[in-house]
Amino acid sequence: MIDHIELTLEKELGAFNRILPTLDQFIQRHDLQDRLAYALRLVLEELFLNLIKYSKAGQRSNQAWVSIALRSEDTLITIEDDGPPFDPTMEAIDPVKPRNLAEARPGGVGLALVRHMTAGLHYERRGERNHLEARLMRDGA
Amino acid sequence: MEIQETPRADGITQLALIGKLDIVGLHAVDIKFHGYTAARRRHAIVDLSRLEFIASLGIGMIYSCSKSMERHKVRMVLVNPPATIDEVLRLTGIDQAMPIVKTMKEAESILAGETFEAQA
Repeated sequence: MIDHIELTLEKELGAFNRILPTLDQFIQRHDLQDRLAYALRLVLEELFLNLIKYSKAGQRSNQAWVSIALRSEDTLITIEDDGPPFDPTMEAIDPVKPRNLAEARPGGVGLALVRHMTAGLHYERRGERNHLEARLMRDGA
Repeated sequence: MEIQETPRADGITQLALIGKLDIVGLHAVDIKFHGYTAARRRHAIVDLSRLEFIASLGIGMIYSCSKSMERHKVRMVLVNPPATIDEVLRLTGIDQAMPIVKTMKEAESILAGETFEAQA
């Protein structure tokens, strides 16, 4: 592994602000290609939004654990939370493309974008936690 | 994230979205963008050439304002997105619901009721 960062975040929209400076430093430190930098940002944002969307009241905690590992061949984003079981890979289908504005619906495209930007998306329930891995190739393809 | 407006004499609103339209950027410009587009009820040309990032929230903002504008018989045209942003926009099918063009002239032609093909 070349580099690795870990963050513990509240599952709240405002908490995403805490990821961004760390992510920017990570991107600059390794001079990541533009497309990989874009994909990292997009995948983190969409998966974090998804966590918030499916968070439910009464969970043991309101926290999520995020890590980004830069490896020789790829970059691995791991997100864990202790919410109810939820497999976002089952949701990440291609969006229905609208034929016109009347058919267009804001939202519902985030996980499809994640699938497009990643080389692999893997979910498993580990004990009491949802464990999600998104793998991005070094060139962002 | 910021929005710049370029004043025009023809009644079209010309805007540029500059920076990263992520969760933080959206919070900074959402209400302002709505005010420039949906609330103003005039045709709008939105220059994306200096946009560095967009994801589902930002796309939702554009969709939402564009749909509102359509109800008032005015349109929004997106101009010159960088390659990755163009790819992301087209993946969602937004290009089938509203025009994405390369140049300001093409955008002006569409809003003048002419097709780009007719001009070519």
